[in-house]
Amino acid sequence: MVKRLLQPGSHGMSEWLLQRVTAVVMLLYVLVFGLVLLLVRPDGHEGWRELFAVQPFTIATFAFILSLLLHAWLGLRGVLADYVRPGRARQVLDFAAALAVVAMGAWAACILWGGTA
Amino acid sequence: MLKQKSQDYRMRSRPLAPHHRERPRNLPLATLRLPLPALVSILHRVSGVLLFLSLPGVLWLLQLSLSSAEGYQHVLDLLQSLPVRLLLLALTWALLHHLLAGLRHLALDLHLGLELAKARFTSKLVLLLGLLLTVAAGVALW
Repeated sequence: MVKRLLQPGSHGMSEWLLQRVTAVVMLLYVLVFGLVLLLVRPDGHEGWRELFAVQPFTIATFAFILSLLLHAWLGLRGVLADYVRPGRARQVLDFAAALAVVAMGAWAACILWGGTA
Repeated sequence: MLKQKSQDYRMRSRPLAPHHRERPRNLPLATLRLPLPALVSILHRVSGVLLFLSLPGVLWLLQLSLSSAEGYQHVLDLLQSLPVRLLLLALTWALLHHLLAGLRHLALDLHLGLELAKARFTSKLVLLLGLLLTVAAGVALW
């Protein structure tokens, strides 16, 4: 067991677990989505739109996107931790990654429920 | 007396015995051969970053396809163009490799396939399956 914690107060277990949980959620969605595409075969713009109008499907898609963004953010933090020394540069990049992820989450919500281009 | 910075703990110098002084401390990375599992691992990271960078584009395509009939058609037209198709093929590989290497990671977490022979086998499997499925996807969609 290491003596020095990189983040005070945490051994990184929750990040480790969350990375895997989000991965499994995404895997399940991809399988379900694939099945839905094969069974429903939405055709044309109308069919595509109708598919995303079904509430459970929209919610599942949003859950997928949130899992994706969380998974990506955790992954990015790992990459940054390996290649960028702790300091101002890392803080800035960390924050930029968080901002990008939050912005894309908001954008996804707009796409799924906004109704406008 | 200044305390050494915590990140220098690996570089902390220590007097070496005479017969150890010739040993290189920092090996030039280009001279080392990458084992197969290591290749799978670094590609797992690279594919992850590529997928992240593609996210805005994918979200934009989704938005466009849902916006209007013209938008939907525009997306279909884009998907016919060669540069977009090649990009999509690369991203398909990135997704497949990341997914397969991720599954291998989960198996390793469960202590499955830790032995050297098995680890090499699963790495080969991930690499080959990733390439095969990418080719299959390319053929199926084109």
